[in-house]
Amino acid sequence: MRRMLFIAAMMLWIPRTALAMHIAEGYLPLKWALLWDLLALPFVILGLYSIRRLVDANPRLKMLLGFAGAFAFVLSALKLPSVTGSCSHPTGVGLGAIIFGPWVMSVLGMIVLIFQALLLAHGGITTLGANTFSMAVAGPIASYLVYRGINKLGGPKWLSVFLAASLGDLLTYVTTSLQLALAFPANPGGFSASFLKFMGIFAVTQVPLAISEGLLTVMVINLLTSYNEEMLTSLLMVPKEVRHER
Amino acid sequence: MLIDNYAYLNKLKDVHPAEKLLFALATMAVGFIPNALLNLAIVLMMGTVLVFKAGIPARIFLKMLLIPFSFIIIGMLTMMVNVIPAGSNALIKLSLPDFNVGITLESMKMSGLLFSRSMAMVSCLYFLAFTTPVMDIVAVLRSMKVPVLLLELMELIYRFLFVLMETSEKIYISQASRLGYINAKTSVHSLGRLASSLLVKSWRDSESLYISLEARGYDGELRVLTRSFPISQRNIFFIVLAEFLLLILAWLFRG
Repeated sequence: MRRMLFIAAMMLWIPRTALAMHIAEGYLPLKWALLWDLLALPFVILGLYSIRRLVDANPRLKMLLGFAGAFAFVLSALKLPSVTGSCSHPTGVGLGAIIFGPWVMSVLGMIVLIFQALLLAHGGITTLGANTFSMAVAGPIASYLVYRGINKLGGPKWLSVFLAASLGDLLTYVTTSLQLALAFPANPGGFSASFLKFMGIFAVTQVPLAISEGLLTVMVINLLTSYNEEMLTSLLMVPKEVRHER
Repeated sequence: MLIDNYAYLNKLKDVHPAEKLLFALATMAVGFIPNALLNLAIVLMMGTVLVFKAGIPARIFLKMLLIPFSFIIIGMLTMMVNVIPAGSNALIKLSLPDFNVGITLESMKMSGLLFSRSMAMVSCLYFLAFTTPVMDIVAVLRSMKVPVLLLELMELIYRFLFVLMETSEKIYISQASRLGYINAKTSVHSLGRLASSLLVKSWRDSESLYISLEARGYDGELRVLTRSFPISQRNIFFIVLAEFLLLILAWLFRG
């Protein structure tokens, strides 16, 4: 019964995300679908190499990465209240990038997107490359750079986490708008008019969500720090070697 | 999860997963031909196969078709409405002080095509998702020489997903029953707690999984037995025939 309730509740939430993050199956023409596949591929390969290196150094990380991917999937199935009262889902993009670094996230993100397509009907196979690029490549890289940048400048921890998560979220939507505008330029006005239209739609719905995501990520990192310092440091130690090599 | 349940229980579960993958992907490839009639035929074909061959209730299939709707509709509306130059013949026009906003026949056609293609592709995706368990797809990918590391991560994530889903469901219910989600402020708070305890649990579970694997002689590779499926020439013939018929349909009603 509880399972049924949960499924029913999830069914209610699903349509709301579909709007924001995932480009639906079959939405992009063949040319653009293939182009984004090609653009996302090198990042996934880079990610696999860095995971390979991490796992060779410490075999138990494979299990941890498995759980991290599953965590991202489950997080995306939860309802996140937004400032305007509408609801959407945390993407976990910023959190993952802060903890594991951007390259690892490209692989985990792609796997999560495959499962979201196959198990929840979010996104799709033909748009996997485009969604991977916006959610698992562009978003995490932005989050990571913002996080590192603010830390380096000596900004407070909460600010770096908040901005990393919310700007990572926003960049994901900007990338999605870009992808849609490139594939569907407006008839009078071309690419830029189309880009503005998609950005306009996304700005209304996504800015409040990005703020919620930022708040949530700050809370999670704070709770983790106070609750389990040991774990967080061992998590944050993980990608260090990779960070220095890149 | 609903789709996953059907993937293990449908009547096509014993068909070779490579055949099902071929059917879905080949139909998707054909579906890229811009032709609304062809797209409709694909939806009908996939719907028929799912309902009559795989035994998925028609009600469930139709309900699932609605999931990507909101994205598709919002995207379509965004594309349909344009700033149009004065004097062009629009179907609907709204005159604002500085410019006109409207829908032209052309933008309407384009959105219609986009809608039908999305629906066709989504039905192909559902065919694959409803008939083929994730593990079978991974097995096919393995025979296609996809990097083992990626596949192992997929297998691990797929397994852990259900573990964490169940935990998050329990936490969510107990939080909600204590009014944890009564307003936006408490919701962010509760969700933050849920996410962080889930992450701590993930970390602990991964540690104990590693320890238990190591106790059983784990050397860095997870070896599992995969089911073997017979390849049916009859099915492959029907798949080729179906794609061929779709191509003929697209050619007959081209333009």
